[in-house]
Amino acid sequence: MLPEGISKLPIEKWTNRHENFTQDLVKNASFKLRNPKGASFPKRRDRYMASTKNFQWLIQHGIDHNLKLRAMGSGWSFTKCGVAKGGIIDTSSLNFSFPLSQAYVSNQYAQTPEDLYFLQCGTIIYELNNRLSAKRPMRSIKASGASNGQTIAGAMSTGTHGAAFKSGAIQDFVVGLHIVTGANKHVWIERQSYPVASQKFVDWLDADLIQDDAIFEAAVVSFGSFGFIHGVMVETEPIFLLEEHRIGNLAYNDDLKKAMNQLDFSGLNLPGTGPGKDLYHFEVLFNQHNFEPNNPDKGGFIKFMYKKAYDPNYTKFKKNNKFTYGDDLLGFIQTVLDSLKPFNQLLIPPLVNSLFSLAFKPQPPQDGTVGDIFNYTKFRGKVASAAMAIDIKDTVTVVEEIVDLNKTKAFPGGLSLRYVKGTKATLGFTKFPQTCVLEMDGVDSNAAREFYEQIWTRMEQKGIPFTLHWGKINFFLNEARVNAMYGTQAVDAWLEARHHLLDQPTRQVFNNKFIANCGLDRELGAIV
Amino acid sequence: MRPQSNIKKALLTLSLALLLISVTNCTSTRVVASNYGDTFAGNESYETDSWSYLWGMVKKDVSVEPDADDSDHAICDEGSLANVEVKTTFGGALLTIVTLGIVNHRKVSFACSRPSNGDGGLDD
Repeated sequence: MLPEGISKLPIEKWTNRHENFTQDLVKNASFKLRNPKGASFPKRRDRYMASTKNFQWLIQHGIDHNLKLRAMGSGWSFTKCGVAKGGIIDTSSLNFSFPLSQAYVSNQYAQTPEDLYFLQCGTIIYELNNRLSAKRPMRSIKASGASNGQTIAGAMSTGTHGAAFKSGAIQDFVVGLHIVTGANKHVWIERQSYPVASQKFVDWLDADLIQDDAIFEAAVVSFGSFGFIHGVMVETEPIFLLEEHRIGNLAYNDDLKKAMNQLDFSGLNLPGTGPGKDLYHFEVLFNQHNFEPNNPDKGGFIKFMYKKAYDPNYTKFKKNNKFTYGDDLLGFIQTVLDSLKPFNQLLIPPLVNSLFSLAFKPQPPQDGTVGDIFNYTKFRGKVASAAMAIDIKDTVTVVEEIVDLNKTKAFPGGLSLRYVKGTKATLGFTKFPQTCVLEMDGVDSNAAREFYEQIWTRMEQKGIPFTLHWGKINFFLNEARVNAMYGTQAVDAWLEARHHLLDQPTRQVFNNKFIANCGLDRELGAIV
Repeated sequence: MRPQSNIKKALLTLSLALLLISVTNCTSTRVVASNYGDTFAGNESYETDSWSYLWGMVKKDVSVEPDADDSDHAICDEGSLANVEVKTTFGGALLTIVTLGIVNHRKVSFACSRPSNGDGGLDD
């Protein structure tokens, strides 16, 4: 009999949201979790604690039956980083959130209790935004990915980012983690250099306290390999507005290159500047099939946002409900491209030219909160998305390499450059102090995957340092490349933290093929 | 291989692929109250087949009520739905035509509402 709050999930395979892969599963090994309710669980703490015990039960179940298990958030990742040939643990119903009072906050915490918010793993970004905007006074997250359906644990664990070049990625506003690390063990982890929780909070969780910067920085981006992340403490800030501008037909010239390579916007004469506005988000888009230096008609598009004070009378924009492409359209295009491979150089440019104009259009400025602007993703079906992080100083070089490769190997999609502040997470892929994430999004097809492989190979050959997004298409990764990208010292620190938290049988439960390919399931010798 | 035979091969592959697509692809209607459900994308236990017979005179509802006794798909613990999609494949439409409407098949996928009232104090 299953403990209350756990139910069987009768699935034997799973295909991810963007239909990039199917993972075979073991029969009767997948489960759904809900916070138990009823007379036995009168308080929210009782329900949260029962879910902690359920995670522990699952780990014991995995050890007893030699099963690999992985927690699943919203299932948005493009890679198998968060799944194993074993069972999926559906955590998306675990969506409690808790504001904190002073008694639960460390006396050494540098901010106020209102700045902290404790979230259960399955809370989605949409819920987080709504709940924060319902607070009085209203609050906001510091940064978001481009859309809002990810769970907080999933988004953090893969390093989801937007283009907040002064704030960073999702994991950069996480300050504490409650992780179930064994059948009889669960821990509260925070940085020693930045304590947030009081002993009363740790007692509320009934967890062991770990205050250690290295362990925290390793665990915060660990794609489900460090146990079951049950709770995440985030830092928030008073609500603010973003003023979004979208401009097209920007010549690819020295002024744009200076913005791309140095974040020096002086030559762009960006409209909308003014007192009380701070540039927050910067993104450049190119259609490499319609590209010519110094020609505004074949140049770039930019999307940028100012952060400014919240005004309760701002005009909220409405979602439109126009005709859009059907779920099967991209799969249809994939079939055509894969079948007519010899003609791809002819077929792809007009295809991208038509789709690009649908995907990005200049528009008048509009205001919105983080929750308004970064809303539900419109892209459905067989989308391919790969993202590599580079130092911003290499941005122009890499864009020109892509444009050059595209002349002989057409890419069925477009380019976007999103700028993100570097992360402290040990294996956070936005690792450069000033990172540019160069995204290549398009139709998933052989043409796209061959293009990815060729451009990543070029980067290696030319010695341009880069990393790849853990949750996007990244089949290029292997042990040697992960070591080269992050350095053996960082990889060893990540492995040591994993060994410190999980004993050997528990590590086995959370191993999967993806981390094995990356050399991240490696067993270390005795740690002194 | 000669270029002409390359073209023939590509067109044959394309024709077969398009035939396969036309049989398996769907026309669908999606009704959305919320895009956010209480499970992960692609969870097959939130999909089921819906059959009706004799021009709809014999049919069975897809029940996702918390106390539903259907075991071939998930139920909605909250007793409410976030969104529903009903799909008809080319094969399904053909079946209806061939049987003159006696047998009808549709694919139903749904998302349950997420648990409500999730926010509250540590002492509540």
